Amino acid sequence: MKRLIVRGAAVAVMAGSLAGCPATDDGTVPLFEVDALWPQPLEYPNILGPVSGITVAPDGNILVVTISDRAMFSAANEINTLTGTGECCTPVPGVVEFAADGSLVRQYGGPEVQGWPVRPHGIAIDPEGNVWIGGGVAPPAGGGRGGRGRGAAADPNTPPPPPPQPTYDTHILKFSRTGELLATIGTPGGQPNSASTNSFGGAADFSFDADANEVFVADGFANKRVVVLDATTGEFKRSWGAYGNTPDDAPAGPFDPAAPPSQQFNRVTCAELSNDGLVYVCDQGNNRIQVFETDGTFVEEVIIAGNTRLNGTVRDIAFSNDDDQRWLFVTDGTNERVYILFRNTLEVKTHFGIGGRYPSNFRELGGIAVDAAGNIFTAEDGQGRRVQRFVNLGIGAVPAMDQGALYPQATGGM
Amino acid sequence: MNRRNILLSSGLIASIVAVGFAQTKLEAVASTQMVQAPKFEVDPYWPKPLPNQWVYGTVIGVAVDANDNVFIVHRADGVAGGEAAAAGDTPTAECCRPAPPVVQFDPEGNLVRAWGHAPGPVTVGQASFVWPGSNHGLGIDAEGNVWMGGNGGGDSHVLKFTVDGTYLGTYGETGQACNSRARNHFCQVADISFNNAANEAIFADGYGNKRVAVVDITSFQIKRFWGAYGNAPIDQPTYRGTRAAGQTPPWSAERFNEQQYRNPVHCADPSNDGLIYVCDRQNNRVQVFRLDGTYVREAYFAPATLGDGAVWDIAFSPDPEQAFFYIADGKNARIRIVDRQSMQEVSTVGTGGRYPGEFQAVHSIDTDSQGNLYATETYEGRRLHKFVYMGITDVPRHQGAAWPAR
Repeated sequence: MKRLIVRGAAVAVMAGSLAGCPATDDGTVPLFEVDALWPQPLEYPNILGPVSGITVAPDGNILVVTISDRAMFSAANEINTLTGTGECCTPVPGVVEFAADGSLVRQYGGPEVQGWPVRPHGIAIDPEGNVWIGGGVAPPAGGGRGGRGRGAAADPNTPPPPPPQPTYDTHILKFSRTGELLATIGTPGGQPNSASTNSFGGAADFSFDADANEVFVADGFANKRVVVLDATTGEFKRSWGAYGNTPDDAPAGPFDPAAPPSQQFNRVTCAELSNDGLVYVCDQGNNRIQVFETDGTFVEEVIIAGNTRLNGTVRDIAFSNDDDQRWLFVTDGTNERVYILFRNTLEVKTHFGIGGRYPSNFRELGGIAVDAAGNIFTAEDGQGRRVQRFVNLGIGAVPAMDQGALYPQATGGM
Repeated sequence: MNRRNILLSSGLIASIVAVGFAQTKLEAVASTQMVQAPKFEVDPYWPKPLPNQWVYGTVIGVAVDANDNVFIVHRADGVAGGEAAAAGDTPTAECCRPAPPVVQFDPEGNLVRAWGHAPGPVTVGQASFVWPGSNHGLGIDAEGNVWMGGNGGGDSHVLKFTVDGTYLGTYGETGQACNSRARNHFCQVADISFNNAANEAIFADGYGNKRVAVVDITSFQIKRFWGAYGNAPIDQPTYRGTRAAGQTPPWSAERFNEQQYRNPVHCADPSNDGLIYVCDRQNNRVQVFRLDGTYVREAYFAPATLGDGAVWDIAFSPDPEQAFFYIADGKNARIRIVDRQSMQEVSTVGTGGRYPGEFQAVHSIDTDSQGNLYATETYEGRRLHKFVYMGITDVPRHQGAAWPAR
């Protein structure tokens, strides 16, 4: 989630705490059930691509960014209205904005926009109401599938072509709320470099400090750092790596749960600022959250499902809607669940969601955001391709460590 | 402004597509008109969530038994990568692992049982048989036994099990090459149905062969078979494969009246009044026969559809007359509701997407005694949907995702 920080609210929180709302763990958590009929179906023949970022605007609308690159869709049957082979479907262009009732407000962006990222990722709204979109890494063209040209005999007189390289999004785009491109921050078309002051390496997500007029950039899928920019000018201000170390771009290698904790980040996919001035960083490949002060001073960390390999466990973080932000909601798109942590202790109290393609099931769960009423919205990347809404049912005792799917009680539930 | 540019370019695409899909465009304009047809509402919370971190692979068969239990078959062995990270002896995450290939739900959507094997030779007690290389198609006979086909290389047989997975028999020799006139095996049977009065099983044969084959259930013998229009099937490669996207005549000249099936022959479903409805999937047509294989009539649906084709599976409405039948169209992401007498499409249900009532690739359909419609998805859809039958009433020309009122 990418809520605006408002210092006034933080002051009010402290007053509330003094009035008898101490942030101690009384064993309760917010409870949820899935709303399977949200958002409203898109107008025929539109479909969502992988949903790679989500945020809730101050007015309660839900914005997502999707990957609309044709290569993300099956040419066999999924984009017939583009290929002229049948009746459905056409991907939405890029950014989709829904009203709180799930109706479509607007959509814009996509590969037709100059400088549109090859793998758009992360969406957030700055204090001025503008929309920031980051990027990621696209695998080499034709790579990963194999087979193309495999039968051709090698010509001994021709040197082999260089191996295909991935394409990196090394810039950030800023749009007006209505989709007008306002600025490109960072130099597009470069290579990742965690020491650069004018480019990024797959900037995955953003949050904003309204008082300091700063943006915290989770940088990123290729770089190994948090970057702080001036929110108006995009000017580079400071950056840091894991534990506040200077970032080192040496490849991390496969994650080993038995190894000592890495001194570097491995895929920084969120950097979320709390009301009380702490930056919560998703270190996805290392299965951990690291917490910093806004100047980059390391505070503490927590490992989540630390034996997980593959893509790791910590993909995005949202704060609960109370002023204290007593709970963190943490997405895990490998074990396909949302963890609820008590923020003061960073202890996992419970989790919900299971793998699959039904309501409250997840496939490559990624982004998460919370609205003013405390409802959760999740985004699924890869082949998941949904935005799901979880209705806040209030605070109660922990039902179970593993709550599984969250079907409404009236349906017989779990 | 960027948004305007996008609108312009998508308008351009739309007008190019409209050349081939003018009819669809007209239908879209007329979609506010109401018609009398079966109405459906999707049940977003059916079936119940699976236990054990189980997930489905491609769900490529569905059948409802006499007690409205719903059976599916999916490709458990196709669940790979991150989705199978909890499988095996050295899991790399806590999610997920494939459910066994055959899964049974009761009418309320509770899991009853799940069973099956990995592809290849299987020995269980005294029984030895070959599980298909690629699971495909499911049928429940009058005794409640479960039959399944396969469309992998060497899947030239059909297996029969009891409801709980005890092996009963193999129809057709395994591992045989395709031959549409063979009397001792099949080739990649796509679907199975039954003429119980005659003790016959009807095979849509299939991905490799170009015929409907009728088998005596007791003797295991092939009694008769036929190709398109009742012709003797011919295994000509001309009819194999896929039309290229955007291909112009002579494609259009040969798309109607092709005298052989274009693989796959994807369903063969008997009606109450003794007709067999055959899915000639990539020819975008339904052909209707008498039970003896005499050709009766045909109808085309979305005939401009290329590639995977428009006619994937068929089920019938619950009234005794079966006034309507339904076509799963996995290419165009909808289920077509067809008036059986006129063979005219009157409405559709479902649309593209990943939400309830939306399809990435609808593949198989069946109905229960109440007229509820069950639909499975292959490719990346990988779900079993339930559409609740709401009776014959005024419905839109396109019912879309068919969500219940909130």
